[in-house]
Amino acid sequence: MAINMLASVEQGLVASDRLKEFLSFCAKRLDQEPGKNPIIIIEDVSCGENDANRRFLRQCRSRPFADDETKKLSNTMNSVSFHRFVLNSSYKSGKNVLPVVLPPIPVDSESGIAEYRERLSLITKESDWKALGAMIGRPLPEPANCWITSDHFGIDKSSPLYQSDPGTQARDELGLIDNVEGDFLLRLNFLAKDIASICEHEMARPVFSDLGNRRFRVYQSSSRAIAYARDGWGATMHLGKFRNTASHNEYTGACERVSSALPLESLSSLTVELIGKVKRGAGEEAHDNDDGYAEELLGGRDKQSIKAELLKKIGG
Amino acid sequence: MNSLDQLNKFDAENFENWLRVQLIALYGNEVRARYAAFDFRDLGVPRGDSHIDALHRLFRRLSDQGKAQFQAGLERLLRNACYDELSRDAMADVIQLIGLTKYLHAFNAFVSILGYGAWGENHPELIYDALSVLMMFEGSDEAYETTKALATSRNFPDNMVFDAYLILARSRPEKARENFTLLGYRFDSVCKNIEDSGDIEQKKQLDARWDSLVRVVTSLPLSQMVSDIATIEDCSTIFSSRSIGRLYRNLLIKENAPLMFQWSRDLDEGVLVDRAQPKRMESIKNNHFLPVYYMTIGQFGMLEDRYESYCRVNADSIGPKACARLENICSPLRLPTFGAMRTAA
Repeated sequence: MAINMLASVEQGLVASDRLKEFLSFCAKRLDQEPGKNPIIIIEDVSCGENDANRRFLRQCRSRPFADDETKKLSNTMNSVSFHRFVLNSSYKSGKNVLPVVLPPIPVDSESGIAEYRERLSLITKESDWKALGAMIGRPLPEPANCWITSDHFGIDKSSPLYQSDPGTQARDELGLIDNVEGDFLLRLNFLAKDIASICEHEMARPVFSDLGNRRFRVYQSSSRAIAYARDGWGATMHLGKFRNTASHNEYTGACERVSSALPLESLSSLTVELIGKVKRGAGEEAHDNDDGYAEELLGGRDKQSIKAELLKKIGG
Repeated sequence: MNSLDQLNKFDAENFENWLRVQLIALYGNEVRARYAAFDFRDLGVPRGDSHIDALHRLFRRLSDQGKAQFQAGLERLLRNACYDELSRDAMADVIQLIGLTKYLHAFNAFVSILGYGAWGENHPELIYDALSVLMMFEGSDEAYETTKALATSRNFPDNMVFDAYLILARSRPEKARENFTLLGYRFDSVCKNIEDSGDIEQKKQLDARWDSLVRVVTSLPLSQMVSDIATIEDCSTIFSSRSIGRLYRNLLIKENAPLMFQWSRDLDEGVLVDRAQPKRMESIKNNHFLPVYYMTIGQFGMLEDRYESYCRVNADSIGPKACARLENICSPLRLPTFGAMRTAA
């Protein structure tokens, strides 16, 4: 987290006085709850759990999309979340005459998955399948942030091959360390112009306070990550590259941004596809578990020097 | 927040109360309480997509004993939830968690609580949720028995019958006909309502659901289909306006129906064949082959005509066995059956 804080300031994504303000709120919370995990305090303060009820999400704002922007964006969620929070309860109750039942998790066979895709397609063809008032993002049902990606930077030729394992591929490319073997992932696709019309919509390049997961990284130095940054996008940590010790220290995955929670009813171009089952674990081996990742992030520096640099940035 | 050690010592009642309190907070009006509900980050469990994710991850980290008590706590909550205490959303969470934790033992609670109780009466979407969980465990005894009981319960919406039947048919193919008969009144009701409405979109939906159901029934063992057909006394069933008639017509009679009857010259037998996979076939050994044979070639007019001359002319193509059966079936006693069939056609 400290490295991500430092990178946020060093890269000019967050002003140092904003970081200082944020840390002072965190310090107050730590005084009130001395034993609390600092990461949890940082997340809570980011979400507005502080004296001033001030939120620190989406600090590094991106230029809004134009209302004719046709970039393809997507958000990824697991099939359980889709079933529970995205499907309209009115659809389920049969107001649609003949509701098609969708299992929360596809039956794990070739025919089961084919049938799930067919059912999903039938459901999303109906006009009233989206849950009323629902938003996408995390955590549901009241999302703080919605993580989105785009495919407009083209295919990453340095990405490992996944044979016929699109679920693991998506999980790895997006750095979704918390999605485990057995999860089925769905991709919600929509056009950028849908977002342009949302009132008070915010979108940003992610920084330390955007509730990233354990593999979140503000800054990467690869040419691909720099290309993303030029366009106002962050970069995910590609879990497959990190797992593969032959990746030569280049771990860049997909581009990413954070958005305020997206109301389903605004996403008129929304389509939903089943990506597939995550077939492989991540972060379990010694070299790619949390300790291994922390070591990589430090990059040979020691924690004290990181702390000293941070204090210097905030004038401490 | 309780530690993992503390949670592993919970009994079912502890879990029931613990879940209830947090569900009430999560769906309540107080913002801070909603934020704090199901927050297991202190235990190293991230929030994930939602509290359902968080709970499922927490469940995976419990000891075997803890898991068993958690599951039992879910069932207790489902059975004991007062209608005015928990929200509909909370019940939807409980139903989904029963599925995610694979607690098949709790399935029969769906019948009393949803099939006959206020929850199902006022929130049919919860019955959809229960069916969707049962669909995940198709083939199991618990899913079969619960689906059967739920599909015949008071609150079960007729328009969910197609998927309920699919679960039953795929779980127990040998009972496919029996279960279709059991649910026939629901199929009849749905079909009648849609046909009476005159709504073209609804009719398209209905046709699509029939097609989908027929595809599944086609994939069931052909031996079962042959056994079912053998029970048909006459063709009035096939041409009935009731759903059973529609099912058989869609399976056997209509243009490009997935199943068809042929005469196998190699076997000198009638066979039921999968049109898409012609090598998939099953012999038909019963005296009612002939009406079925005639259905496939559309020659209803032949039935009341002089069968002797028909046999003489066509003996080579239909074989000695068919001739013998023709003679047997086309006796004067059976002629009214064929007349009814031609009229119905």
